[in-house]
Amino acid sequence: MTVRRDDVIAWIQAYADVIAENKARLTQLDSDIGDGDHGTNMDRGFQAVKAKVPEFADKDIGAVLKTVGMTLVSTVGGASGPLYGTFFLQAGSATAGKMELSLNDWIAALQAGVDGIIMRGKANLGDKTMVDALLPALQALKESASSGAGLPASLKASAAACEQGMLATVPLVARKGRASYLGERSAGHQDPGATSSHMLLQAAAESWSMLAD
Amino acid sequence: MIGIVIVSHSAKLAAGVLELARGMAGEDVKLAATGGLALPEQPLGTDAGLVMQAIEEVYSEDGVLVLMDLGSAVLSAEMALDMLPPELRAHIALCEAPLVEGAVSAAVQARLGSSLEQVMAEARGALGAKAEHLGAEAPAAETPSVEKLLDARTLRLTVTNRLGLHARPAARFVQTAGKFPQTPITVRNLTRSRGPVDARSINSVATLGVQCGHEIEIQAAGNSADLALDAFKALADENFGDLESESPAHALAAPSQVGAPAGALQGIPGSGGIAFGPARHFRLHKPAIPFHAISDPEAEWAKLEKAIELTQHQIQGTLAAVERRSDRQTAQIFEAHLLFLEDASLREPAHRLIAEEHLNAAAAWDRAVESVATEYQSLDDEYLRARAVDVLDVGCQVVMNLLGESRPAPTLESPGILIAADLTPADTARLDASMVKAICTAFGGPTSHSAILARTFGIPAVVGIGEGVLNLPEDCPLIVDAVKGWVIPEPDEATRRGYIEAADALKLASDQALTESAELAVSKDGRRIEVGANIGSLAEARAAVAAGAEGVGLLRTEFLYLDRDTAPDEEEQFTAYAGIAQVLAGRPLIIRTLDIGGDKPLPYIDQGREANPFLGWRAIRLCLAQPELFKVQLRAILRVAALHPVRVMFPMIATLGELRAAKAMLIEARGELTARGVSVPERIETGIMVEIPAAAIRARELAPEVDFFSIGTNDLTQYTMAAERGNARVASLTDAFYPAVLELIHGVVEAAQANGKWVGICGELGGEPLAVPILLGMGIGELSMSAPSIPKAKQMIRAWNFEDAQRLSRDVLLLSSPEEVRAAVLAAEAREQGRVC
Repeated sequence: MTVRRDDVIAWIQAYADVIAENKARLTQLDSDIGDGDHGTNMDRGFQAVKAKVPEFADKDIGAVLKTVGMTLVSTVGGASGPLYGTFFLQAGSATAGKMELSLNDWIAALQAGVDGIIMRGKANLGDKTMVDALLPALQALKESASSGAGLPASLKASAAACEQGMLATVPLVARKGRASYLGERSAGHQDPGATSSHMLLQAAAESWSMLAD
Repeated sequence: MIGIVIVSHSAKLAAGVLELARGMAGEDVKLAATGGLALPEQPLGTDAGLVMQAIEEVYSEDGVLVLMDLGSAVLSAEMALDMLPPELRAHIALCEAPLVEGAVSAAVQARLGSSLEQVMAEARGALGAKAEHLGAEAPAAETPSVEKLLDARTLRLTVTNRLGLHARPAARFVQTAGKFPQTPITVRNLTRSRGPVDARSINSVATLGVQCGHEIEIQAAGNSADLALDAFKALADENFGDLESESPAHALAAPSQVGAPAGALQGIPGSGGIAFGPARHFRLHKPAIPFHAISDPEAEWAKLEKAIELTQHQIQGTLAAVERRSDRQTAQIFEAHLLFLEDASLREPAHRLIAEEHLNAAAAWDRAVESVATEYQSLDDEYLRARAVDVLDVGCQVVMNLLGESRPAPTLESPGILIAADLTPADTARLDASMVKAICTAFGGPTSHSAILARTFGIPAVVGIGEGVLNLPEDCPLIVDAVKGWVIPEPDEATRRGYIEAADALKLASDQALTESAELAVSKDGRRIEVGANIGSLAEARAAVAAGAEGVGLLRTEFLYLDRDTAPDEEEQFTAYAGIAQVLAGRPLIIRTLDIGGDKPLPYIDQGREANPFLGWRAIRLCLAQPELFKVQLRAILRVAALHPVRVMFPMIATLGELRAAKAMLIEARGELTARGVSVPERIETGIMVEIPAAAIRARELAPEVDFFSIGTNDLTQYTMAAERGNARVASLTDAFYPAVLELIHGVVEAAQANGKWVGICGELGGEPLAVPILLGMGIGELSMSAPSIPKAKQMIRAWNFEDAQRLSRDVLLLSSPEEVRAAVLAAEAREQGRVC
């Protein structure tokens, strides 16, 4: 049971559509505690990524993810540009040369991506950032895999943990990014970066759910 | 030299910071700015790839300092660093210093050739001076105190420029120290007992808090100590680069209530003089701002951007006009306006209101402007508070452009005294001096931009009178005593008579000076030189006549072409040139055809990007390649020449071929006019600017085909010495007193005389008193200069014998340096005076 190159492309495209549908919502979340451009920025970036899909035809998964990363860097604009850009670039490095991914390959890719985000943004767990959603998701993915569950089940567990992490950002006081300027007033709002991170892993769980276990 | 990279979310902010830093530190600092995304709609944001490119653009092993604004700019800068090869990374530093202050300090320091660590330390300490000024706790500024120098030479001087060693003069100060890299130099503020500090550190110098009237002590040690102190002495003599009009010697008297006539309103003298006339109120009404929801925020934002861009164009036009008729400092007011328009603090809130609240552009912009202006008004500092009017002014201009309304100029239908709450610089710049006898404002201070402009135009002004002046009835007879700062409503007969006498005395004195200047300039043994003015507008034509100009040796026509979306048509040009010729009332007028290049891009000519616009596609080169553009101007000039004594002059001729092509174009233009049945003069005197060494060297070949040469000494010097004036390190080479330049001038005159042609000078050399005898001796027939230089130049001509001047001009060609040449002139001048005694 593996994720093939075209499945990866399908996931990226699905995520681009999710972002487009939720553009206003992400922007609303960001307006509450940030500078109100997260939805617009992410949508601009992923529409640019979508336009690159035809170039993916002769590329391996690593190259696809790196292209996604570079595209985001030059089109997103806000902090999510370098952050998601680094996520995809690092995930691309971890999957270089591969045409399909096993569950362990995906764990390695996600690990590399999340490490990249932490390195770039210097955020810790509890700072009310995307890390609060991604780290639990990575943890759940690993636990599910080591308990012997297959890929779709593990992805589902990962996305569920991601959602829990996202929801857990609501009471937190931001310590990184634009929201940290608000101090205590940032509490009571869900972090937009954690929200778009959850959408990313939810999209993976959904678009890869049909794969034979 | 260290390169500096500026990273911002906003391309305009990045470019604005770059402009500021360059303005302070000079043209040759290695600066690169990046902001926004390289997408058609140019969203705010940062792109690590662009940051990397910017770093590469200014990279050298000396190092690169990267300054950034916030959020993604920091992340993108870090990412760019990761993307570069490791061997480069070691020479690049990301710095947390404040973007604007840091960039300015870093640029000044980089210019001195300092190390990356030194430049970074300066950037980090950059908030010190501002914190100190505002009385805030200074952040741990790194202004290392220095050891007292041993065996040092000492220079003590009192700083007399108005604002003390503030930003720009401080930069000049530090740059002067930087010219002596091997010489330890320290400076102390004796008045405040601060320092000594390193004279090469901009922050250290700024935090000495040197104000006007403070005494400072400069010490230098080592072999070049005396030279260095001489350089500081020279810098102090030119007021650290502050122009004289700003110095206390020219400051206006403090307000005085002593002896004020009963009922007089007390204000602050803004621009000296005495005026009589009826009160005329000028009240600018901000147009009614429409307020409604819109459906397409992107289109609405585009509309606003377009209006802002149009306003920028307009301000650049005003800027160009003001620059030509006044001084650089006045022009800086408008440069500040341009910066406001690029400021994210105005743009971002407006953008947000449009994008999120779907507010229409005019209302969104107005709200952003009001909020920034309110912030300024709430500040303690008087100077900063006065900037609120500037913000409102540019804000209002944008709204007018959005609504398609034009701001009414403060015109008066009959002569009178203009009364206003406050005038914006744009209002003042458009005043008609023949109608406005004086200006009285309720608010604003003597440092307000309108007061500075009023001084430039010689209109008496009293400012800061208070609201009472606004309540004066329209047409109420007034006397404005702008020397004492009084406005006297309905003066009694005795007061009136007293002021009439005082005004007559003032007028008599100034008339006398002008009469003298109006007389011809003839040497003691009867050799005449025509003394004319260089002008660039109608207002300057009037000033030139008033100053005693016998003609105009150079009319720069660029003012007609700047600040607009299409080229001026024949009719407009004809009207403009004819208006100037009329003011000159029969005095000769030399019109120079368009002299423009890549340094001043015009929207209607595709000039392309040039690495070096001054060696590029400009002036006659551009005109010959754009025959339609060129012929429109030539036709307008020919038509005016049919009515007035007008000559035409081609700029930047390098070859005979270019001269012939330009003359052929002139013949074509004449043919087109004749075909239309328009009257043209039989012939028009045609000359060229000699400003490229090739033309000077080949003057013999060119002379038979022209009627005259006019030597543009500024460019001729720069091109001959291969050095530009804006670059402080080589600026000393751009001295027209170098015998190389003088020899070229001499050759041009000889070639012209051999062909029976005359030669004029229209560069700054013509207005330099020490150059006048040399030029007289060489046989120059005409000197053209800025109007204020005319009286002194005429004096010089009258003080010399042509024969002695001839000897002097031969002698100086045998010398080797500008210093020797100047010394020779001074020595000869002393002999000349001795002869009189």
